[in-house]
Amino acid sequence: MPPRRADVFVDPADDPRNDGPSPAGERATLLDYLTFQRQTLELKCAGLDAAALARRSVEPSTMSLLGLVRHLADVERTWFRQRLAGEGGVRRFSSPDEPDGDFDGALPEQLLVDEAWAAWREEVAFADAWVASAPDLVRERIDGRVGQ
Amino acid sequence: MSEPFPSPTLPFVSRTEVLLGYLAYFRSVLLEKLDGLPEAELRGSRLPSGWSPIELLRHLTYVERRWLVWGFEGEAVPDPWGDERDGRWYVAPGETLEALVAELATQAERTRAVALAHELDEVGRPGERWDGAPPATLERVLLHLVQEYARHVGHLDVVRELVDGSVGE
Repeated sequence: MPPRRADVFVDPADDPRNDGPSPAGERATLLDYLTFQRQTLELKCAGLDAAALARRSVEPSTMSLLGLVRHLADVERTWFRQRLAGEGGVRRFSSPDEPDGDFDGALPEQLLVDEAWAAWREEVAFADAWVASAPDLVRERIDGRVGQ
Repeated sequence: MSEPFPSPTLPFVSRTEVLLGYLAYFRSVLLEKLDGLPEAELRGSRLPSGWSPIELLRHLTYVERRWLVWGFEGEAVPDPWGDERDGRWYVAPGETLEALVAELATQAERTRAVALAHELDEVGRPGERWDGAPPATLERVLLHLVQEYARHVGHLDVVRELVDGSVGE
């Protein structure tokens, strides 16, 4: 007999994700959703060792949790750093020669796990900082006003 | 025929249409991933949690109805939790895929009509849906539906790959 839905969800008291009141405004709302999704990724990976994180649990798919962390690190990087901030650069975990490198290269090694989380956290921090500073940059481009 | 992916560079006339564009896209992917599944796969489960693809289809129809019709518009909805029985998703053996697809299409039209009849920052009507919390804005409800669809369609991507190896957006 499959489990009841309530039994497969984390106990609300143990759920680290924000369930507070909805923020006001479009920017805060979008950031709230993005933060929730990021925390969900961390929640789904919590407590697993390198072997479990790299396990292809739904073969034949090459998808693994570690592959997802690597993939999402590059998604954050592509959209925020490369496209929105215009910094250029290349993806960390895939390339034109290895377009699925983010998933294919997700091997059960602690060094790779540490590297993936470090990359993801760096890109998330960049994204948050960029989003927070975007109105300042926009205003400065309009009339040079800075500060506050 | 799938709806176009609402790529960030694709022009839309309003933010509401962007969010509706995502929903239309995810619905079309949902139907593509269901298309051609053998009956046993449609009504069976590939995963330990035990949900079936046809149950997922009904669940998403009810999710839209619960949030927009029952919740945002504050209308009386008969059996708002009709996608569940005894705490699990449920579809009776005699119910056909065609009928459930038609139900989703009807709900999709209603969803679009509700979304276009209000501003994104408009707050929903009071009612049971909000579980005692203040009603949410239309924007929050539509974003919730987008993330709900994205996550569930991702589940179905995996199941379809397990069934016959077919992948892709």
